[in-house]
Parts: sequence; C-alpha cells; structure tokens
Amino acid sequence: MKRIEAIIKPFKLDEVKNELQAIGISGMTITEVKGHGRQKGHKEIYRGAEYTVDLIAKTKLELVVPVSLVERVVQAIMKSARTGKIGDGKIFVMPIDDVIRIRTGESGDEAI
Amino acid sequence: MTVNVPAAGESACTADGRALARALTDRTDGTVIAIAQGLDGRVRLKWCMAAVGGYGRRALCPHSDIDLLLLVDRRASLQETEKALQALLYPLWDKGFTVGYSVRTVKQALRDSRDDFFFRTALLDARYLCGSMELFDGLVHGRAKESHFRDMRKFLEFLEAHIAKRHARYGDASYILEPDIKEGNGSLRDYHCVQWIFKAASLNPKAGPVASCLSDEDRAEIDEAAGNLLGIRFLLHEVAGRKTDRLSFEYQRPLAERLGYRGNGNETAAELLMRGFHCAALTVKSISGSLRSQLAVDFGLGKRGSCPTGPDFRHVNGLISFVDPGSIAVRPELLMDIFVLQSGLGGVLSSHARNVVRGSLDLVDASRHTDSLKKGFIRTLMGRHCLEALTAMLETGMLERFIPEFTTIRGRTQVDVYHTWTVDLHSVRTVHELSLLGQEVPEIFGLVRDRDALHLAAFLHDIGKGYGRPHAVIGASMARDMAVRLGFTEKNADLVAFLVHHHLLLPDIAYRRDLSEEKVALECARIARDEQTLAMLYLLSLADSRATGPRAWDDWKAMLLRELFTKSLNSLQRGVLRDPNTMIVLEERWSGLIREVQGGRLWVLPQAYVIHTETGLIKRHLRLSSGITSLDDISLDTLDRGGHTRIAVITRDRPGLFASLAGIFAMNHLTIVSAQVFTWLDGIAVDTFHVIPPWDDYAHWDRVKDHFKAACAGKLDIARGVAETKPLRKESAMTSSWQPRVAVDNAFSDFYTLIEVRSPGRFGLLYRMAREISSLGLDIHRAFLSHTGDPCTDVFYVVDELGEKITDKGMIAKIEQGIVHALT
Repeated sequence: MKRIEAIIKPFKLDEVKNELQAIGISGMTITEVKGHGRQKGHKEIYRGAEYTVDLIAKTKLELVVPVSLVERVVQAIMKSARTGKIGDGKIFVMPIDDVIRIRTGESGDEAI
Repeated sequence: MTVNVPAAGESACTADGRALARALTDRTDGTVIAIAQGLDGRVRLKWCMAAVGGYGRRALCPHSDIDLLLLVDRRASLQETEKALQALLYPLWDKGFTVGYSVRTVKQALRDSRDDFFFRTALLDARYLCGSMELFDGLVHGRAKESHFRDMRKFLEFLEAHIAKRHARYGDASYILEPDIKEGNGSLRDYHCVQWIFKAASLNPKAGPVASCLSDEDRAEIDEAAGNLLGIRFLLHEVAGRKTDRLSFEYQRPLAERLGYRGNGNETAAELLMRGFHCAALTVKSISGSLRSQLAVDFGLGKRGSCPTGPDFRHVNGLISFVDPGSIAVRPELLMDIFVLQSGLGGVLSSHARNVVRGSLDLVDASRHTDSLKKGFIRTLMGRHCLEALTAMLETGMLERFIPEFTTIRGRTQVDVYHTWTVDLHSVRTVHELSLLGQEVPEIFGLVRDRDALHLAAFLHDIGKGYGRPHAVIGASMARDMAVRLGFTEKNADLVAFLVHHHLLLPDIAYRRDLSEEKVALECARIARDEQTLAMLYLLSLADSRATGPRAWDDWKAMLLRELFTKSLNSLQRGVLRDPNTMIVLEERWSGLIREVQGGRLWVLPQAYVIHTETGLIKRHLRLSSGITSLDDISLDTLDRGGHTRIAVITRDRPGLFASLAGIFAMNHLTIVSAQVFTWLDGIAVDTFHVIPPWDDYAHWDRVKDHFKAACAGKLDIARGVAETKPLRKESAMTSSWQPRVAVDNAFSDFYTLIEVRSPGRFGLLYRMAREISSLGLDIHRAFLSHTGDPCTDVFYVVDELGEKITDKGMIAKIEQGIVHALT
C-alpha cells in the first residue's frame, strides 16, 4: 500500500477528482493549504500600496491505494492537474505499513 | 412506545408535545410510585419522593433522565438511607430508566439551592410523588421563606448570566439549520426560564407586577409554541432511538415523515418541518426575550441611561418604546421610525412596543408606498445596528408586511454543508456583515458611491430562492421591481438587479479558474464594467460568504477572492480597460462577434487583441488562421494604406518569432512604423505591422514569405542577413547620437513585465531589440511599437519561460544593459 499526497492548484480540484473517479478511486482527504515551492509568492499592487503574498493558496489531496494502482493514480493526477505553468504542484508517494478500518477491524487492502 | 400523531394537514403538522409528555410522565409516575411504595415497612425512616427538573414539570421525553429528589428525615441513619436508595434505584435501572437522583434533608436541600443555581431551579419544579407529605410541605414552605428564592432581582441576575452563556454556546435555534431544541436561543430552556420567573415571582408577594408583563395572548402563544417544540423533541427521541436534542439533518426527514409533512414542488417535507420549527422557536425567543428585557428594566438590571430619541420614542436602559402608541393610527411612519432608531442606536424593543407593532401591521398595507416608510427602510438597512433592527422587524412580522416577497424565504431551510442559518436570517446577516466591512475595509468602500444600492442588494441577494429556477436570475428581476418601488432611480434599480444577478460571480471565478491567466481577471472586470460595480460585487461576496457560516469562509478562500478582485480592479484602473469608452467598444465588438461568428473559436481571442482590432479584421484573421497548422505555415495579409502598408502576419507562435519577422522586414528594406503583437490562447500569433515599403508599388511580398519559410527550415541566417543589408538611405548623425533608455516595469500589469524602450530611430533597431529579448529567454506576448518619429517608443509585454513575471533584480539589470548594448 502507498499513501499518495498531491499538492495541486485549487481550480484543478474538480478535474482531478473526476479523473480519479474514472479509474475507480472515490475516497480521499482534501485540505485547503497554503505554501510555496519554486513558485514564489507575488506582489499585489492595490491603490498604490504594495502587498506581498508570500504563501500561495493550494489544495492538498491525500489517498491510500494498493501498490498496483499507484502508477495509474499518479498518471491520472499528472494528466488532470497539469497546466504546464509554474506552480502546478507535486505528488509524493510514501509507503504505508497497514490500514485498519475501525468499525470492522478489517486490515490491509480490504480496509482501504 | 406508540404515539398518536395528528393527521397531516396542509401546512402545519404539529404534535401536541404537552399531551405526549404528560401521558409519558403519568405512566412513569405509576412505575416510580409503585416501586417507592414498596419501601414502607422495609426501611425505618420518614421519606418523601419528589420529581424535579423536567420530570417535575411533567415534560418527559422518551429518553429523558428521570430526576428524583429523595427527601429524608434529619434523623435518618446512613445505613437506612442507603437501603432505601438501593430498593428504589435497582428496579428503576432494571427497567432501563436513566435516573438522576439526590438524597437530602429539607434543610440541606434549601441550603444547597443557595449556591447551586441549577439546583434552585430544579427545586422550583419540584413535584410531590409519594411518601411523607409533611417533608414535602417543609420544602415548599422553606422555599417561600428563603431570601435567595424571594429576591427577584438576584434571581434575574443569575438567570441572565446563565442564559447569556447558554445562547453563546448553542446559538440561535430560531435560525440555525441544525438547532438544539433544548438549549439554543428560542429553545425549550428559554420557555423553562419564563416558567421559573413566574414560579419565583409567585413566592414573593412584592413581585406582583411580573405576571402582568406578559399579556394573555403572549402567554397563550408561547405555551403553544413551546408545546410544538416539545412535541418535536419527543418524536426526535423516538426517531433517533436515544437521547439527543440536536435536530441534525439526518433526523429531519424521518421526523417530518413521522409528523405527516408532505413535500411540495418547492420544499421537501424536511424543509417544511424546519420552517415550522424555526417559527415556533422564534416565538419562544421573541416573547421570552422581551419579557426578560422588560423585567431587566423594572428590576434595574444591566446598563442604565437613556438616549436622545426625539419626541416620539423613549430609549431607556437599552429598551425602546413608543411615547404615544395611539398616534400610530395617524402617523403610520412611526412603525418604521422605531426600527430606524434601533438601527442607529442599538437596544431592543420593549415587549409593549413589539405588541404595538404587531397589532398595527394592517396600517402598513395602506402606507407602504409613502416616502417616509421607504426612506426609513433604507436607513434601517444602512444603520450600524442593522442586525438588531432587521431581526426585530423580522420577528414582529413588519419585514414581511413591508416587503411581501420576503414571505417565500421566511424561515426557509437550505440543506447543504455550508449554510448555518435560514435564508431570511442569512439575508439580514449579510447586510450586517456589510456594515462591519464598512469599518474594516474603508478603502474599498471608498470606491462605492451608491451605498444604498449595495445594502439593498445585500438584503435581497437571495430573494429568488424557493422558485425552483436559478435564484440569482429570478432574484434579479424581483429585486429590480422592489428597488423601483422603494424609490430608486431606474439606473440604480438596474444596478441593484445587476448585483443580485451576479452575486456569485466572483466566488465562482475565484475558486474555479486560473487566476494567473490575464483573461480571467479581464473577463471579471469586463462583466463588472467599472470600479464601483466591481467593488460592490467584491463587498457583497465577502458579506455573503461571512454570513453563510464558518464552513463557507476562511483565510484560504479570502485569499483567492482578494487576488481576483485586486487583479480585476487593477485592469480597470491601469490596464487596457481603464478608459470607459474602451469598455463600450469592447462590448459592441464581443456582441457583434458572438452574433456573426459561428464555430465556437471565439474563446481563443485575448481581450487586449479584441480591444485593438476592428470586428471586420478579427473575422478576417479568424478565417486566415484556420489554415495554420504546422510551424512553417504563414499567412500574410497586406493592405496598401497609401504611403504605408499594413501587414498582418498569422502563424504559429514560437520563441523568437517577433525577432525573426523584424529581421526579415529589415532585410527587405521594409521600415517598420508601428507594430502590435498578440498571441491567441490557442498559440496562434497575430502580428500586425505598419511598414513603409522602399518604393511605391512594392510587390515583393512573396519574397518575405520565402524568407520566412527558409528561416523556418534553417536555411536562412537572419542575423547575417540583417548585418549584410545596407540601409537604402544614409542615417542622419543627429538621430543616432543619444543613448537609448530602457525601463523595466512590474507595477503596471499583474501578469506581464513591461519593457519600455526609448531609442533613436535606426536601421534594424527593432530586430536587434527583439533578438536581445529572445536571447534572454523572455517570451514576448504583446508589443506596441511606434517608430514614426524620433525617439521611437516601444513597449514589450514579456514573461519568462515559466510564464512568470521577471522580479529578480539581477535579471532586470541584465535586461536593461543587454538592450542598451544591443542598440548601440
């Protein structure tokens, strides 16, 4: 099992969700986050005054999938979150030791 | 347990909670008394069993706690008491009751009630069940003698403190979408408070006037409303199968079905249930609230002092009342003026004043169209305390009577994860948030002249809800009619309608579109048309979101909305849209294009291109561009304008394109006078040059085309070609004598870095400049060149290869030096 974490542009969320649904992934955690990587913040000039926006609004997706699905999930996110411009985000893939569904006690792939 | 529920009526389906609870209480009494009577003969002590709390009030619901007080004689031994308790509790537990109990002597009970306010109210509800009547009488008589029961002022003070805490924690049950039936404002607990006040007052002969604070009608109304709430709580326990007092979404539908509600086309059964619930809670809230504020004045609680109010009203200790209610018949505007006063100064209406307003509503029908009422309403919308005033208008029925369209959204539920309040209160809260924003962001409010239009739009933005169609569209036409009726000019009525129609525009764009695209900000600015309207839409979005609930609004969303607003505003203030005439031209061109161009390719056109190109020419370019697929496809569209020629070059965009074209023109002795360079959103470049041909009747355009194709194929070295081309005329020494000036500007556009170059006119100048820009890795998106005189002024809109503006200081210096170097 792997945990896939993707940071994407907020307006891409619907597309990414649709793409993941199309390959049968429906469970995920979505968080509104702020941060920056290579894409620096920007300056906003408003009525002569300058505001520096250091952190940029992004959306974070987290999902846990069986190893066999990792490649397809990553491809799906890449395809749907890409604009080709800076700030498209990153995908992190991490190992997961186990998953347990609290209600039933099932574990492993069954509990995803 | 089975319950008889009244048959489904057309609108209100209620269960008589009092009857249900009383029946359950009686059955429970039977069980408890039977068990308690078994004590006699088994224990040697004098005892009395009393029901307290909700059980004492005969208000049991299926999963309520059974609160018992076991009074014992002061001589009772610990051992005997324990034995008695076990004999009582074990059978009750076995029967599945949740029992709350205490064992006290009469003296202990009276003493403990001194410090524990909740125990004191529990004793007010005490009811004899069985056992020694003498002990129970001792409690009743002791209550009447104890000062903490008799001191009405202290009692009210404690009560108010607890109520304030409870309301803050559970919110307003009369508007919240998932309300707490027992603890919220307007809930059963507020009804209990009224009952306690009367019970406490009955212990004190001097508190006589308390009872007269509530009219018989109010008394009957609050009893009935609380009965409905109790009925809903009773059935909620049954439906949920456990003790729960929060009417959450999951239970609303089964409960509505249980009560016999049937959905209609516009509202589901659950929505109808909640509308009925909110109205009942509102009744409890209003009547209990004004009783308490009246008592607060009578007993001198809270802040004292009066406000200047003019001859018609009194504003004493925060309580507003009419000086002469009789004059309302001849001056119905007083009905509105009292809310104008409240909106300006704050405070609450006295219970008498509320009843006067409610009793005089028929006068509103005849006077709705008078100027003084219309103006008064607008002033109420704009006041600092508009939340209190509009809520009071809502609760007295004044709002619905003055604006009949409001009836549809009255108490209306909206089932989604975002909304916290019903539509009516959400509307009122939006106006309130707007008045707060007036203090928080005065600089944005400064852009708004027609503030009355903004406040009215905030109040009416959801007025179209409940008609089944997109609510913004239908709401806009309703809002327009209302604005006209309220005396707005046609122009401002249109503005109100526009704001209502587009109140979701900014959030829709901000969360769903790429804000780094210039097109997005320009589209937003184009719809808003001017700074004032854009600022109004922004303020309306902020107020609407903040009034929706905590899940609809946070920092993250604020950030995106602000970015969209700032970028759109900048394009109106400084960018291509700053001239109001431009906006008119743009509107005409777009509507012409939408009418005349089929095939759906219009989305590729950037706003800046449309602004700078006539409709006929745009259509021509669209036609010519349809054949451009590979990199060496090129279309040259020339037009002799007498003295100079206009050439439109249409091809696929690529790095260095502009430099190549400038170079090829130079090699062909075509002097560039001006140029406009645009990149369409599908990657087609449309570069329009005005050139002076070397001689009249110049006709070698094919040579230009061949050069271009050769360059594409890598068979033409443009740099060498330009270097080897001799100018046809000798350049004058004077014009080339001064240093070019280059300025890099990041403030003008939110999307591009501007490079402005002023230089003496020279052969091949444009080529060298463009090549330098390309070799620095910059992408020219747009350029405006004017080479008609000396100096030449050129503006290039550029970004780096990642599409970002150039902000690095070192890079900016490199650009400036590089261009100066290339030109000298």
